[in-house]
Amino acid sequence: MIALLLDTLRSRRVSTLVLLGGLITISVGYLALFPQLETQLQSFAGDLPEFYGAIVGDADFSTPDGYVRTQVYALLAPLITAGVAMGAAAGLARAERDATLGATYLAPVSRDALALSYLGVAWSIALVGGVAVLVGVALGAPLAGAEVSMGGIVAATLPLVGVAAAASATTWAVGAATGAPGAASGAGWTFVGLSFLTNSVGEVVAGASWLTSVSPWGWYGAGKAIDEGFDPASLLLFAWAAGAAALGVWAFRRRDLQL
Amino acid sequence: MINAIETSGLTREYAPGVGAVDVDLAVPTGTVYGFLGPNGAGKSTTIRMLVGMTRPDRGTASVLGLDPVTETVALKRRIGVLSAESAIPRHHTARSLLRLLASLRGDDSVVERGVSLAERLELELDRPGHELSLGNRQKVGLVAALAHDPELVVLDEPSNGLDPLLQRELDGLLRELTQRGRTVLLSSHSLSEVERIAEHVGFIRGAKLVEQATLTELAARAVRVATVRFERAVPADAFEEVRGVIAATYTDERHTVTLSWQGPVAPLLLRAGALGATSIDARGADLEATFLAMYRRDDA
Repeated sequence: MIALLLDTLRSRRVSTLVLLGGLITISVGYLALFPQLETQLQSFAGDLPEFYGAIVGDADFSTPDGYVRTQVYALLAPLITAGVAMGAAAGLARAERDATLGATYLAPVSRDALALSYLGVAWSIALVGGVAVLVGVALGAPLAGAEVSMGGIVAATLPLVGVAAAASATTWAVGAATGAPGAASGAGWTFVGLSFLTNSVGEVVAGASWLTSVSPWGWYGAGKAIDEGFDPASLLLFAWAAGAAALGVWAFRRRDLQL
Repeated sequence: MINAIETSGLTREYAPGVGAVDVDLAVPTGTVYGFLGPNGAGKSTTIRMLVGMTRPDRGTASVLGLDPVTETVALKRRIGVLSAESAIPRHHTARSLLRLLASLRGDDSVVERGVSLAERLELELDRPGHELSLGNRQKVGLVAALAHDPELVVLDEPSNGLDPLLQRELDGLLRELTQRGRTVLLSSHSLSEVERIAEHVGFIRGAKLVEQATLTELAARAVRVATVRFERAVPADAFEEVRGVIAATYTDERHTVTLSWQGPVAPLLLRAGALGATSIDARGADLEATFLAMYRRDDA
């Protein structure tokens, strides 16, 4: 199982390293820009409708702390991390379509081990994304003048790993069930898009606030944990990921493989 | 003789006549078994069921005494498989793939045997997977299937992309395997490939196994072809009632008849003699004619 996991990880090593380096650089770069942009952002923020702040993490991006939340946690970091993790998660279905899965399937490994090696890589990438954001924000926040604690950064970054894990598990499960990489990626991005949409509607539409409590993006919290501390609702993201993983294993065991 | 593979009513039917239906396969241990049939006949579906990739709708299969559905991992330890569309992952070379397989099998000798096989098949071990031609990808698949010295080798269209010299080399490799008591299931649509090395053959068509026999048995039942010339024109039904005659084609204003027949030649010679035959040219029996005749019979 370890050999299989390491081999699958090897196939994604470039994208993983780019994610690590890229997210640190982008996070630090964005945050370092804040002192130069502060005045313009204050004027810009004043002209924006109220609901915009709610959509991007319920924060004022013209303040240093709010800037960290909106520019890093609201969209950029989760989308990049989830995107790279979902790409790896769709690898199972891609390998089946390309007939490269046979090379390892025909070795004495179980279907579970084979399939889970791809999910393991996707989750490792989610974790790497989290580490990159953690490092990027820890290095960049002082440059922006933000006063955020390391505990706050960790509390905000854990749900980010969770949202990437849930999105990639959804991608992987659909790929495991269908063997279709397009369907797998589509399912992952639909998960992300619908989550974001339902959470946004819940944030801005009167009477629909319940949507935020059922939306995975609502569980994510978009960096609120920096100020408010870890929200246990974020654990639902990991529960979702585990549920999708169980469903994927169940489906992959029972399906014909086209190798 | 104990069978390395035995199936009973093995069925996976995707649509009427598509897949493999009620396949009763018996592959004797220590032999090369040629599994023949046209493209889409059900060979690959049967093979996928034998190696646990596809679950049967009904029926049973025993491969080396193991159930491919419930004992897949144990089975994969003992068999080597080349699937019809094998491909090498982009991040691997043949050598790195061998190292991975050695690690997954817990057997370091896989690499050594693989390198030796690669030399015989003239395979470059250090080229990235995405740079390999069809023939080289096929060689990697063959090396991966054989490197752990399996008891049973299942090869789906193994000579795809191999040049004639390498096909001969592969034939030699497979013969060596059977000399050491290994069993080979060789799936192919090429009669000549199977005819060269197999002792047993099974014909599958329209998802059903229509014939299973040794080559010797098939040769005894082989369709033979003869051209008979006559001094005078013969009646259009001259050979209709002759025992063993399958088809008669009249040409040259019915002075020449081309006959296909099975079994003893005596009834045909008697009839030809009675009609005043002046010459007979007979060609040797071949498996292809038998194969095609079997298909025609099945069509009828």
